[in-house]
Amino acid sequence: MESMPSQEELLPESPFAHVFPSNYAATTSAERAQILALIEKPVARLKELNSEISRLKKVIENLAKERTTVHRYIRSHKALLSSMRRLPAEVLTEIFLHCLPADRNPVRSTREAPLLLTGVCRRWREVALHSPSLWNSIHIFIPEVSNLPKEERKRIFEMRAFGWETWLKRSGALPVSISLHVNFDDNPMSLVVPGHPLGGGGGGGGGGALGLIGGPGNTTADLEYHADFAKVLVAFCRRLKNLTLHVPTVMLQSLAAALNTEDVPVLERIKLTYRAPLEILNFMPPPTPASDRFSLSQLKLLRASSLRSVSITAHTESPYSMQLQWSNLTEVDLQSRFYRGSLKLTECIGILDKACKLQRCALTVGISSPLDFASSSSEGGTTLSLQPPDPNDIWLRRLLLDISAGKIIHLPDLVSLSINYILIPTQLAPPPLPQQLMNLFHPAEPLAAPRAEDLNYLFDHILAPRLKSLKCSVGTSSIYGSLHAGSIRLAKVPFWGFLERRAAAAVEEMMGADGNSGSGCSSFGLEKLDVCMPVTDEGLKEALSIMPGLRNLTVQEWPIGIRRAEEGAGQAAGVGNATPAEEGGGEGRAHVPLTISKNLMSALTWEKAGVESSSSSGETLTRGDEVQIMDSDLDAAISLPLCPKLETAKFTNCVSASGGSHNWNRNGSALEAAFIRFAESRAPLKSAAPSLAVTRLKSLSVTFTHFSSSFSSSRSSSADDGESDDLISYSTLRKRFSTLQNDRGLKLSWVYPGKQKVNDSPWAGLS
Amino acid sequence: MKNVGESDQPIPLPNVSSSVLKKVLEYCEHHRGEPLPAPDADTSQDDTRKRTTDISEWDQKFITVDQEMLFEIILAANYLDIKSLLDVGCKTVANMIKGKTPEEIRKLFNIVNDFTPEEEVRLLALPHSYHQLILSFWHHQAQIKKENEWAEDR
Repeated sequence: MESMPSQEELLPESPFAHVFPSNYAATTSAERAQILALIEKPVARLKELNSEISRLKKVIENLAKERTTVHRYIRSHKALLSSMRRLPAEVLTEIFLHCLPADRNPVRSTREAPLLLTGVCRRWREVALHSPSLWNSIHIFIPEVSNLPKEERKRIFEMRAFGWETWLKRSGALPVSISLHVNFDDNPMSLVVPGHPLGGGGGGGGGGALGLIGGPGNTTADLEYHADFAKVLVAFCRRLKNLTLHVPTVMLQSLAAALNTEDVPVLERIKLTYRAPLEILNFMPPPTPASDRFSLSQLKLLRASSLRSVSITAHTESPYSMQLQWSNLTEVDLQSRFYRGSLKLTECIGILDKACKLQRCALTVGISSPLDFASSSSEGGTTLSLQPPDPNDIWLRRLLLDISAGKIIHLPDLVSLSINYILIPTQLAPPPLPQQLMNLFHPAEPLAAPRAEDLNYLFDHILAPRLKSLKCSVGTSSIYGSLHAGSIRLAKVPFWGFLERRAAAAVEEMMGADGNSGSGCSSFGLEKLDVCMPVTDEGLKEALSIMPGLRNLTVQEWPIGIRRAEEGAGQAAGVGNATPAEEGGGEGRAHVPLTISKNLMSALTWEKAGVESSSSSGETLTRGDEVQIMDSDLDAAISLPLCPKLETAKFTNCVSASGGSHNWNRNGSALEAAFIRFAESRAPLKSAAPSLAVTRLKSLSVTFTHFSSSFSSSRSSSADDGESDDLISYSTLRKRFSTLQNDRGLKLSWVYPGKQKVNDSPWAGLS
Repeated sequence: MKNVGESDQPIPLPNVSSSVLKKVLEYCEHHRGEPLPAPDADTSQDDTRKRTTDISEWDQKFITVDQEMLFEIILAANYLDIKSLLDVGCKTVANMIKGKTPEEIRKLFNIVNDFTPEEEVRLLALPHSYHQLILSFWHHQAQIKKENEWAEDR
């Protein structure tokens, strides 16, 4: 065999190498001949190489083919021995059950269990179809169909009804869990009935006065489809265990007509998102006589004796009038942002008295709020403004007498309570219609601040020894929009009396003669608190001081406070038992009533830990990096902070800069610094020995109302030079964030709202 | 094993190999002393809220074995009536199934697609008019797809 030329022989150094990086062209015949001579041998060799590569490729292909054949042979035989195929049907069923979604009902998707499992092989299909527990829950969605052709609408309804029925039939005799969500047009502007001053309505024809049922696009046929669809649900009513509905009124009407309480013997849980479109506007005159209007109280399944959990949202009638079987219920969630859906204080008391088995409870309570708070208070603002109960409700009137005589309502099993107060003007006569519609989009109708007596009333008359989670907020009915920017802040939280009673009971328990602890009535057992109300920072501090077991704290700055702070107004009115709060307290600072203040954060900061950690951490912060928040004395430095067991803290809508000037000023920087100092004190370095007295903070979330413009500019400037004691620069903040997350293991979320962006794209305006 | 009762006689385990038994014993040793699941636990499976595929960290590590061993453990747990181990095994397999297409599942578990082409015919991607045409053509042979026509293939 001829020996192969070496690399040097084949590819000698080219005399043209120096022109390779250029666009030089060989133009003389001598140069061209020289180049051709140079590549003659390499061209031949390239041909040889290509031929050899082709040959080897062929060999590899043949080997791969053979390998595949052998592998398939082995695999086919091994599959016969596979233990997967030996799984008995009951084990396969068990596996299939775990394939179902854990937190919701399964849907009609062939990419998800159970339908997915019927498409793998014959055996899986057989097992799946004969496992009733795979088919006893389903979620059905029906899209908004008013814009589709009639045939398409019909097909959608028919197919859904067919599939739904087929699915549930496979569930044998098991109790079923059904979730049904029908999308329907609920745009307030499209819900106006014909003949209404605003005109319009009934665009789809047939809706007529039924504009309240499914929007203008719905035809009579659609309403029939909805009603037919409800029939499928009725067919399975005796096995209905959990029911979740977001449906138009016509479906509820069908259910109300078809189902009595005894038709749903195993119904335990119902969740209903109610939409009474016309009433969304609260003020609109009803289009039909009251006797013709649908009311949730007509839905008899809400009064089933087996029912244990009821959740209704967006309702527009008082839950008290629904006459639920309160004494059977363990879970109640009846929250609505519409004032017509709120309970009167007296009704709320009545419900809590009846529902003695409650474990979880969330209610919306309407507070009649005088439109002119100042004049009202001067005429006796300390008087409770209870809305009187129905004169025919003898039972409730008697209960109220007992309450006024000192009766306390005991809720022995209650572990979670959420009370959402909404402020309703006492003058319910609606403003002129155009103004109401304006309010929808530019809320401007003012309300006065809430009165402490009203907010306290409920909490002053209940006792819930096992309560672990408490949420209390004060807001407005959506229709009445924004709140009056008053500077009133409550000196105490509404549930102060309630907390005091629990604390007293706990002390009594601890001092008990038998010394038997752990009876379950731990009054210090409150673990979760969520508040959004106009309370002073001192008021909240006081409340937190008797919640030593608190693990989870959420505080949302009340919107009034935000507005006030942004306006930079300094006047404060100390009326009734509400007091103005002073933020900062420094010379020349505005009196801004805030709940989330550096004062509050200082009380939550563990001063001792702060001192230790900063001295032992080895962090290389310069003097300029240090943040002096407050002058704490030695006693404060070694005392325990508020809520020593705190693990998760969330502060939202924090007002970082006073005066609304969006400047990164003295007050703003101090609040941020107070948060950082709090976090550092409660989340010690990972290397530090764990403290028995103070639990490590795991998560901190802070959101601010606006971004400081000077804060952003400090990114580029060397703000570290010349920081004053209260000033914290962006670079310092970033450094401390990093330490908190990496060295202290804190899950930190720190959010400023994004700057408003204008769409200035070069492509804008093109179709 | 409750039918066996107390006995000093050896208990035959014909369906459990020694390597698998070792794993089972390791599991039992780790969970020794833990309370047994309530006898009626499996009757409450109609309640969506009680289903979960969460597996504890130790169990997760324990069950990280090859597929053949995984199914052997499940079979052994079923045979020996160790409910909690059976649960861990079933949850693990369920987690392997979730998010996959039928074809991916077949490939993963070496399952042969034994549906007839008629059963498997893909109708869902076609427009409605074609649906009707092909449905009438295949009549009841296109059983699976016909019954799933109302469902979403996504």
